[in-house]
Amino acid sequence: MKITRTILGLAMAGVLLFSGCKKDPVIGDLALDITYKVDAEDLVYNDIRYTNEAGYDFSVTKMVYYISNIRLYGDGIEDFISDEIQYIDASNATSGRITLSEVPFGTYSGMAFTLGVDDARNVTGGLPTSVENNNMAWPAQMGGGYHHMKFEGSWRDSTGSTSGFAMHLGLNGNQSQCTQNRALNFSEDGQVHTLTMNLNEWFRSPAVYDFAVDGTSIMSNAASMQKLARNGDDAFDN
Amino acid sequence: MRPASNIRLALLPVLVYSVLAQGCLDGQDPPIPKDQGPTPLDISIPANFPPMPIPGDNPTTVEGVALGRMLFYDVLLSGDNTQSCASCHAQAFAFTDNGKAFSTGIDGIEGTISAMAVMNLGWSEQLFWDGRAAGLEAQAVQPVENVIEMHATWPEVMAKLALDPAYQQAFDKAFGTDAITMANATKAIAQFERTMISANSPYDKYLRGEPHAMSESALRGMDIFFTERGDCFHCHTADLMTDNDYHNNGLDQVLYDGNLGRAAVTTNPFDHGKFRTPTLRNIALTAPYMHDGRFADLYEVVQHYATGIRYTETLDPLLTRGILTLNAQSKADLVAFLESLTDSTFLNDPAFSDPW
Repeated sequence: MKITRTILGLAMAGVLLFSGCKKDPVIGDLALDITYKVDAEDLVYNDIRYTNEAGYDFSVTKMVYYISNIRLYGDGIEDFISDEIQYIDASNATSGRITLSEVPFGTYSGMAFTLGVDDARNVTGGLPTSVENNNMAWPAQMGGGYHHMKFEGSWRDSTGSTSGFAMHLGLNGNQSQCTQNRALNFSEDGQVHTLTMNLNEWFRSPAVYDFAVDGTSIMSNAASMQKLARNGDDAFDN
Repeated sequence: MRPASNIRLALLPVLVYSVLAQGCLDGQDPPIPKDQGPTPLDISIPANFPPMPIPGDNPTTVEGVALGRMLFYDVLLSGDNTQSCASCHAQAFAFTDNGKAFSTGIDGIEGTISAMAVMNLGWSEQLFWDGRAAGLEAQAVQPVENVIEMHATWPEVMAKLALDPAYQQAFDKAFGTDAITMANATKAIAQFERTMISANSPYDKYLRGEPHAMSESALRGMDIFFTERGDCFHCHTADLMTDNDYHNNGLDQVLYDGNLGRAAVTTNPFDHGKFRTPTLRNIALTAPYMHDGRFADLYEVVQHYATGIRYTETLDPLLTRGILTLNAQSKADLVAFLESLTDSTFLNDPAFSDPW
């Protein structure tokens, strides 16, 4: 009987101790959802309905890209850095959700990320072989690595003639470095945070991108790729 | 292909058992015990190819592949026992139709679209030029039922197969008892097709470190192919040489019902004139070219992309940049590169040949 009471006592103590040690979780999954706009309008494919900063009407037929180097930062909180890289097809909602795992709860003052493949992985074979990654390959003959982005569509020039554009970015130095200086109070596992890309920002600032001047097929045009990449730095809402 | 004599034997189950089991199915494993399931088969994926997605309800097995090969080459799948899949997908022509633009079905009626090559299809989520079949299993259903192709019905075909002891055994080994069904037949064909991988061309050998596998001309052509000089690589993505996507490549000045392409499936007018990118592997053997076989040889194809692109509103944006500056030598180099994608190992692989 004495032994039984002892065991019972120990078990109760264990329960109490266990309850006492229980703490609220401090980490969780944070989902980033990406939506798309062209200025005030939602993104609709295959329709020459938008006008860019240079004054050309244009449509969107493709927007695919990578996001890497995601970093959450803030005062008094340690940076959270993800080494994940994700391929995103704007036409496919499921590919537009990025889930960051084991993110410490807290209030972050902003987020930074690379639109494109980070330098270390931007070599031929630097990403796992997959249909998507193979389709994004930047040929070794042109420097190797991957397309950071493919933004394609049609545009109407000043004479009314319609043709296509293929804004492709690749090679190191042509990634866009995006920031979102908006407070993010992360307090719940599975919380969703939304980012919005405005496709017209690619053509707007700091320098107006002009199809007629800067080109519509730019993989061999270092200056135009750089111009586009810097415009992409603020392609996401702030 | 199953010869006529074997068709007759198929109607005589007692006789056919000994003939097929002993004579026609050489190379197959001996029968396995009843209590043992089919043997899992790990398909060997080339290092330069992506992982192959395998449907969860159709794992690849030795017995399934063997059955699929029998079916692929069996004329019993057609309404009058004269045509098999291989009739229009011949190994010597990279599993296309013997140099024809259009195939002729069992009733002598010519089709309206070119037979696509059968290779490396394990990476294609959608099949046919317009992508109307979601996966190889779904694809295998259609030619049998198509009234201008094999013009049969699956119940008729399954009834014929059920009379054949060789099939009774093969279905049993691949899928278990009571397994002679259309679903299992198409699963087996899909399994066989997933094993049909072409990745041993001179180009592949060059990638694997054999510097002399390709000619100087082919190497120059490769540089044109993989740069904006030719700009072929965006759609014919390495190393499957297809992006498995749909494009209007500027064949026609106007969009008409005969070239609906992907729009026939999606009903989206912006898919009008878009067709699935064919792989360029073994392309030298698959003439004539395009969905309607309008180009007789690869020079005509190169010439089209150099100077013949026609604008319509669904033309791929990558093809609107104007004339490619390719001189005669450059065009010849490009063709030499395309010819370096011919894989004689695949074309002569007995594993993909007629088992009958």
